[in-house]
Amino acid sequence: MSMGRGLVGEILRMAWDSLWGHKMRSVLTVLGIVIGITMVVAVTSLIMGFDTTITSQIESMGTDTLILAKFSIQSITSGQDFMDLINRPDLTEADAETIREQAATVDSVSVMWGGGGFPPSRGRAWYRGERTSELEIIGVGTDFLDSGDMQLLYGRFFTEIDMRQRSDVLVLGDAPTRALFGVNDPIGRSVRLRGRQYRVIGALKQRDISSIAGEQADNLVLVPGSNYRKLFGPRAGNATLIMRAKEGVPIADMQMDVEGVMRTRHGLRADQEADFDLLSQDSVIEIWRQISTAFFLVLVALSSVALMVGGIGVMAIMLVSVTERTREIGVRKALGARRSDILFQFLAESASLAAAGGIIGVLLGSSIAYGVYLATSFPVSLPWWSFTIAVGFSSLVGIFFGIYPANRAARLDPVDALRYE
Amino acid sequence: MSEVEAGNDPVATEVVEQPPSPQPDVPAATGNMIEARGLKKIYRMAKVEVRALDGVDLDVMPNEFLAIMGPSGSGKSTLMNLLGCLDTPTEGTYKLNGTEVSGLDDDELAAVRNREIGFVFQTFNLLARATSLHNVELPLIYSGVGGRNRHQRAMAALEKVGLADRADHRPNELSGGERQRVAVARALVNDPAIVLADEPTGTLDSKTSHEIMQLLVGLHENGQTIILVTHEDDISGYAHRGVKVLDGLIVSDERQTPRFGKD
Repeated sequence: MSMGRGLVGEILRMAWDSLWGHKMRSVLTVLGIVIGITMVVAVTSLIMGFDTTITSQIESMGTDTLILAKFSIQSITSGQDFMDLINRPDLTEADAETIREQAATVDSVSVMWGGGGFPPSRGRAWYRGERTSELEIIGVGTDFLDSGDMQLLYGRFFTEIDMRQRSDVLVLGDAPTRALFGVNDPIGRSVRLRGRQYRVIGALKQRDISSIAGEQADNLVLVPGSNYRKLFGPRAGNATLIMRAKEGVPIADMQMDVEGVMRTRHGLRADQEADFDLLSQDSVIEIWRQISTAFFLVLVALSSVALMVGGIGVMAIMLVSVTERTREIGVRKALGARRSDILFQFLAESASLAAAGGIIGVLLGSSIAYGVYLATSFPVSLPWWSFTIAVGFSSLVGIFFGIYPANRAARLDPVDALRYE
Repeated sequence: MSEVEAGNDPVATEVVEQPPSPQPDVPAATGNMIEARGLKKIYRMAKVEVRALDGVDLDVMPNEFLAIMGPSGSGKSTLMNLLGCLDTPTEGTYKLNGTEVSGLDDDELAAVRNREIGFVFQTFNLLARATSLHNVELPLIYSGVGGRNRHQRAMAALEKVGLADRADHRPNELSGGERQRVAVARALVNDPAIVLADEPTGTLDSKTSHEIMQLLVGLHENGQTIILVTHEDDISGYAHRGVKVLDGLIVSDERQTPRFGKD
């Protein structure tokens, strides 16, 4: 009962003939599958690209670095009550000082206020009628450049004097430097930020990480940490600490060390949960993994619905096809086609139909992703395996929803089928 | 050849015991090609019982050219479906070319049809989107003949019906007579025990009908066993034996001199 070579050829040839013979109908039928696959491929490409960017940004943090924050995506995603998080004690410069003194594993601590934190601290910078887009305003300590990936291009960085005097000076990111001064020297110019006049003392180099929205990563302005409170008020006292381990110290050791120091400072008992977040590169990547996985699951659920709808469309049109070709089925049976021959013929047809939808979906989806990349320079990734899975999965949908019509065709009585008008 | 008069009793079934005089160049075959005993086909609807076929015995020897005749509703189509292994009898036995087929399942019947029976239909029943060659290849495809062999056999069958030059044409590019020739080629391609032609000229004009019948006569002369199902006396006149069916029974079975010979 094995299928000969000729039979496979015949089955594929008939599937092709049938689909090509009803081009318009075929296209309309697979629209649901096209939409489902388009969605999967486009969003997958965007998430994959986003993932690469995020991961490289996280990795730019370095394996020897820990971030200490009042709360972060870590505690938010772990499901803690948001009001509890808000009510945690603020982190301060004094915490940084204590860690410098007491944590033996820590080489350097840099402090920053704002910077992607909560609440957001943003504003535009103005210079002689020119203005920048919304900038991330970050208050930093004098040793901020010691950790992280930012480098000074012109001028100088903040000094202890700037800190003590809470000077109205700032260091511009690459994007606002270009926006306000073009190719001119920005050093010493007076810039207005949130209603205050600041003197530009330095400009940062363009960051070399590929970023989520191109120049977004350079869309920032640094002010002395002490000055930051002038801009955002005493309530903006919460700091984020970036700590680098001493040469050769494992990150886990530093993590235990810093955690111990902070628990003592906050007077926590051994059975109490930490009221701060301590993030390493690995833990941030882990969190991102969880988020992107959750995103993927939602995507899979949504596209499953689209594929379901598409599959039902395939089933409906296959039932029509079986009815239309009742006589052909009768003839084939009279000439010696077994049930399985007819079954495979129609399964091949519905699988090809759905696979064609999958291929169109892959093409559309990757075009959309590529279009997004061209329009916004949002990074996209078009992995070949996602195409394989998309086409393979849509074929499976075709086969699944083709089983009922194909079975109906296979079970037709040859006498009735031959008599069918 | 003399005509054998069947009994007048419509209920009696006439069994031909003797083989018809075979063509001189055909070796005498042993055994019956068809041996049917007490074939019944009964359709049970809600409360009515329709006896489409009510006990038919039929023997066909190799190289017979048999015409089954009868008005519509007589049961001749049912008989044809049973003889063609398209259907199974409610009662009775049917031995085709030495194989008992009445107890076979769908797929086994399909294999028997593929091997033993070449169908020629009234409406040709060619696949519209397939070329002549592909249509003729179909039975070979289902019997697993592949590649060059299949192509050669299909071309040989097309040559037999004189349409080798139409191999690449689709049915809509062919005349009715040519279509039926392609169908005959398809029926012959697997060297079947029986060619079963169901009203093969039903949609053709008389000239083309004659041509098609001449083709069948030629096949018969080359040793092919042919069963012709028709309600037209003209057409049944090409056969060497006439079987009349009425009300589900064979009412006459007589040898006849073909009225139309080979041109």
